[in-house]
Amino acid sequence: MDKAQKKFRLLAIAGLFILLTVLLAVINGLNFTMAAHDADELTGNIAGRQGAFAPGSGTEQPGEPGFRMGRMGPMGPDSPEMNASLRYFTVSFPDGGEAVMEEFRISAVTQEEALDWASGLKKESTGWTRGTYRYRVYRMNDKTYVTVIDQGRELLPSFRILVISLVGEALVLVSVWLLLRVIGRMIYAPLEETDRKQKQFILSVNRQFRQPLTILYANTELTERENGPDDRSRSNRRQIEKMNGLIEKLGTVGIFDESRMDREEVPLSEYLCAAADREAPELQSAGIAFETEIEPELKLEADPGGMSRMIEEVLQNIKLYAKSRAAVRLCREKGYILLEARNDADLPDGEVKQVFDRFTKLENGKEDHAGIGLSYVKGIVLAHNGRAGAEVSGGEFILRIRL
Amino acid sequence: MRILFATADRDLNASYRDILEQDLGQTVTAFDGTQVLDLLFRETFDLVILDRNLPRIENAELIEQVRRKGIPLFVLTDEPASVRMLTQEPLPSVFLAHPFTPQQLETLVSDLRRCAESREKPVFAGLPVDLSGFCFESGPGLTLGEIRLLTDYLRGREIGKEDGVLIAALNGKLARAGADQTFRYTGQKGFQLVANHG
Repeated sequence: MDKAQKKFRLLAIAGLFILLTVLLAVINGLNFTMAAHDADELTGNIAGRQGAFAPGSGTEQPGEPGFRMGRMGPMGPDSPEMNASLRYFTVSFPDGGEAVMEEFRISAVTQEEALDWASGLKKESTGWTRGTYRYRVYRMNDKTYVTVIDQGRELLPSFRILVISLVGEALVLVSVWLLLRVIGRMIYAPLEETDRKQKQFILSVNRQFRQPLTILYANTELTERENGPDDRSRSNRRQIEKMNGLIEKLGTVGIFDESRMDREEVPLSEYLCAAADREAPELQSAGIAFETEIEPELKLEADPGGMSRMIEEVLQNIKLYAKSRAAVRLCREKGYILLEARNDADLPDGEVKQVFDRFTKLENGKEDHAGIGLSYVKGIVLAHNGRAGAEVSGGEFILRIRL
Repeated sequence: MRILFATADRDLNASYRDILEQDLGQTVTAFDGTQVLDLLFRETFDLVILDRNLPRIENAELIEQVRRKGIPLFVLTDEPASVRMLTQEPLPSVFLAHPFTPQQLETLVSDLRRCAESREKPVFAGLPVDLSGFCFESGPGLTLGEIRLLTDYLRGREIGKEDGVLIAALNGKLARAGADQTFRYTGQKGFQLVANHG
């Protein structure tokens, strides 16, 4: 359940991060785009007046009748106040002639530096140069003009908004993470309790069913001694065996769930070799081509009984469902020990996610099996902090266990 | 043979009293640890079969008392034997998990008697084994299952069908007893005693 909580928090934060990042990217992108648009209006104004800025949208000067500002009024790029605050220069390049400084109203560079700067921008376009300067290149009267305006002060609020966005996003993510930790415990506590009770129940059922089966065996024996074996007593024995098998598996799932494991150095390679050698003759006689690829000397700190049963159950799954071929592989991979079992079982891809569900029997499930096998394997694997997964690929059912 | 059979379940006690009396000998039943200790003090038994969850007295205390008298002891459990159970001290002669059949119990009793009456002192991994005492002479106790595994091995019979728990427990006891060998699976030859690597 702890892993489920962490996964939930991670997914929630990842989703929030993506959402916030997209939203803030759009907002900041629009902000900077509008700043560029305003700058282009200014350079457009300058380009329309042969390289020199004039406020208003017509030829009239402020104070003259008919003087008009643009659609944004005093806040717009053609406001009369821009006359005092706009920093720019315009250089003209006559065809075949030398560059001429037409307007120089900037403090950050000398005229010579400005001429050099403009020389590097002589393509018909508009854009940003040296970070916060906007330029426009235009042709007029057989000359190429380059106007560069300083937008540093105008961009400062946009940069502030960008920084505030980033800091704000980080704060939001951290706050939500902390909130999820608190709320997560409240949400998951009942689920954990339910899970714990389920496991306790399974363990308790296992324990409580075992002893009565001993009594049933004994009473069946006594009855047969008195009256002789008959169909009923044989039927009783078969049913007791079936219940015994079921309880065997239920019990081990319960035990692992309760973390009552031993921890020993388990020679996994040897266990798998031994189990595979044991099963190989039966698989062969069933017409199943069985291959093994077992890296030697692989060991793991684990419960010996659990590892033994996990391997048995994996091979049992092959015995039950393989049609003509199967393989097991044990190797070290990326810091894990990987146990991979493949067989050509008939399993629709959509059902593969259910193979680990307790008591779920799929369409190809065997009648006399309770659907516990792979849930049992997963219980053992999870108790060892491992991962178990299954997929259908290339006509094969592939079980992968990482420990 | 006189047998003490003790579980907290009356039906189990009744069924097995009948079976054991038919097959092995006089059987006395008890329902809790206090009764067991009282009977052990007053009477003589050739075999004791106890449930692991008998009320009133800790199971370890009961095992200690029975083993002190040198009586072979079965402990009935509600789970398969784990490495932890097999390496505890004091150790019973047999852990028998529910459910079991009367035949399984009787087979184990025969094996137990054969072992207890044996005068052999085989050597396993360089360590002498006291079969009647169910232990290595140098210390760690052994259950019947482990003794069967050792004797099968010494007689050249294949082992490896035993589950990993028994072999893991035995390897732990070999290490505690100071042996320089452990059981390893060697492929075609199955499990073999192999010298420990440095």
